[in-house]
Amino acid sequence: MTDKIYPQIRKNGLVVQELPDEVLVYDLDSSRAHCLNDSAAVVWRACDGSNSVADIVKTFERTSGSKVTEDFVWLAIDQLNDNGLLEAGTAKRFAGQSRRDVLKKIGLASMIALPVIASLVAPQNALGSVSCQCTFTGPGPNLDCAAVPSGCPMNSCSQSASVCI
Amino acid sequence: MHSFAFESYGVKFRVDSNRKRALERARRVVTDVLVGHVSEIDPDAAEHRFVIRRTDDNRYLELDGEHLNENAISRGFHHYFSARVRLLVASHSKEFVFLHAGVVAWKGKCVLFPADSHEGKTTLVAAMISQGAVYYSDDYAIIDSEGLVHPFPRKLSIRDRDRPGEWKDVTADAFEAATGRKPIPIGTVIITRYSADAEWKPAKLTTGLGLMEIIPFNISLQKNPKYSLTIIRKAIQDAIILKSLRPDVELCVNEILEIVDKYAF
Repeated sequence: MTDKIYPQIRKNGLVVQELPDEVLVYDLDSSRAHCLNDSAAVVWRACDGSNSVADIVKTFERTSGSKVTEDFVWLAIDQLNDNGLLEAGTAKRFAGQSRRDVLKKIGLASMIALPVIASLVAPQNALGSVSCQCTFTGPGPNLDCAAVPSGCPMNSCSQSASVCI
Repeated sequence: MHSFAFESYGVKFRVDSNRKRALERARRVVTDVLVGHVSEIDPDAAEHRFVIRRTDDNRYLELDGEHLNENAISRGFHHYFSARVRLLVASHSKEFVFLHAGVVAWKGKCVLFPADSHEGKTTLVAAMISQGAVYYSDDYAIIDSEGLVHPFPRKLSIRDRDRPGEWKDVTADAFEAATGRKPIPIGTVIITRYSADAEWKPAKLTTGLGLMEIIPFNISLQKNPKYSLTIIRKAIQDAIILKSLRPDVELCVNEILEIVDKYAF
């Protein structure tokens, strides 16, 4: 079955930064950043749409010098898939299984670091990360805000509120 | 209409107003909020246009034809206006990458504290410069194409001990600290925020994880994602990146300096 699957990384909407032992991927559509560790990065680079999972295993072994199983590679592929980093339609190997069980099963057999993808949501727009400065949007002035030269008092400052940017 | 136009960090904008006095005030606000990093240009060369409309009882602000705000109170209006000017420059600069961060220099390299508002950037920066660090910024880390951080030494807004509940703006001189003058590389990035019961227990992050943690503070991200991430990666590739919650800054500033010394020098 896995010989017929050729995972392919998403071609659009991603900004990729290659680092010596990691890959940082920023998803412009979801505003999420993903940091792929070395193992996940090797799989990521091999997911070019021309390699089957078996090919990726060989690529991984050649790159790392360590033996890995197809399950090991699938662990990375499933994470890439879960995070929307592959082209749509790639099958999942461990769908329905708990992550703990999968990690336990693969981790015990693995001599090298398991593929891990850490993710974080970035703000949707720059307004969320600039210093809070007050104005009023209602019928009257926000006197509390106006009285604080450096910006909003803590209680009235909300990044989602239209009174502050 | 009366007008002036400035270029700041490569961003060209003009400000128009129906009242000359309002425009003069706006000019002071812009110069102040950009810490003097402005140069006068021909208004016709501007790429963005603020309009301040003053009536007898109100002030209205537009940017590029969009109504942004109205405020009858001068101080509130000008706070808002200054924030929008800063945001315009920070988010539209094509030459520089703007991170929301406090910045000091220690032994010739920057220590960055990326953080949102009210997460203690100014407090940390003030504590660090009180201990001998050089002041660079309590607001933005401004990074050039070489990955060097430029000074943006706006006044620090601190609690006024003589007037409880009030704040005052002071220069680094108030802490007997020097102010940075030239661009320098990043030595340490410290991702931290205050938590009442926290202990200072920094974990060292990889460059990739550090870059990911910094992304939420990258103001240039939305307009210029690829360039800004490339520049930040370049800027932090040789830096030590630490992450920890922290208690009151008085309880950990010396430990922060110790670890900056230990790892980065």
